[in-house]
Amino acid sequence: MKAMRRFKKGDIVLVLFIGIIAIIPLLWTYLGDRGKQRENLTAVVIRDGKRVKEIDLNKVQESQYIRFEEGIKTTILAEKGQIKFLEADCPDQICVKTGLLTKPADRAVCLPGKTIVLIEEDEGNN
Amino acid sequence: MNKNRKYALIIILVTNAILISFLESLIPIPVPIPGVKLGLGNIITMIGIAFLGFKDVLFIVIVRSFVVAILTRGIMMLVFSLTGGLLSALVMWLLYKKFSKLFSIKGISIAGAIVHSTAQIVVASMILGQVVVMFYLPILLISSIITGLITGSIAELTINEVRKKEVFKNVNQF
Repeated sequence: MKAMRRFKKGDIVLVLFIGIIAIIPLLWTYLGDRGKQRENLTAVVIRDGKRVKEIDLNKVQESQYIRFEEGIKTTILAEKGQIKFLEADCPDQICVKTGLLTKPADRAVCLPGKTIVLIEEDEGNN
Repeated sequence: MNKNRKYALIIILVTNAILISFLESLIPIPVPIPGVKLGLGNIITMIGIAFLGFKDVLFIVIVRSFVVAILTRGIMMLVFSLTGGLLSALVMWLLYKKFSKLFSIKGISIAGAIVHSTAQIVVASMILGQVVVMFYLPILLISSIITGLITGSIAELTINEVRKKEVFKNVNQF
């Protein structure tokens, strides 16, 4: 059993190296996000590599549905200050489970439906 | 030991890989991030690498990817499991054959998981026509370290046990 718990040099170097590479951008986004004003949020819907819709989330008054009927059927629901995948006709349901997108750089991806929803923050637009 | 015995062993590994990957797809994953999964099929790939030839390993990975794609995620997702599976098998093979002194099976398995998720992210950004999915790479790398360690530890235990029982003895002379 002792031999099985042993790690070799390369294991440790690999884990440290990749771990550091991965943690830096995570910290970057986390620290960069703090205390930011959540204004001028624009939701962008990308399907098949094209930006098919941009919605100013601050100006949405009533619930707005975006439906895609071709290929993997997808329904996206935009409301004031938030947007989410409501339904997707795919097996993994990852995009639906992602839930509400409310702040800049939030995103949800539906791989089978080739659809991305993400939030961008307009700067200097006012 | 004859050729048929070798084929039988390969088929046993293939069916195990399919079953284990299928069962894994039934386990719900708490994080909604595309590409995060345990990768239990990797255990079988690792056993194949330890005892069989490279072609046999490729065969196991390809058959497993096809069957699991049809059974669960749909044929469109095949491109992900296939590129990820083949590339990680190649890297794990090289590390096991050339750099065993530096890497234990756990380390090799972690490297395989990292290659797997990186390949998937690259394929995903090509399919989606957008690089925004690269955003997920750091999280996928962290999860690869964890899942690679889990599957690698299981693979290490299994390989030692299988070696003791001499299941694959002289199998590569055919």
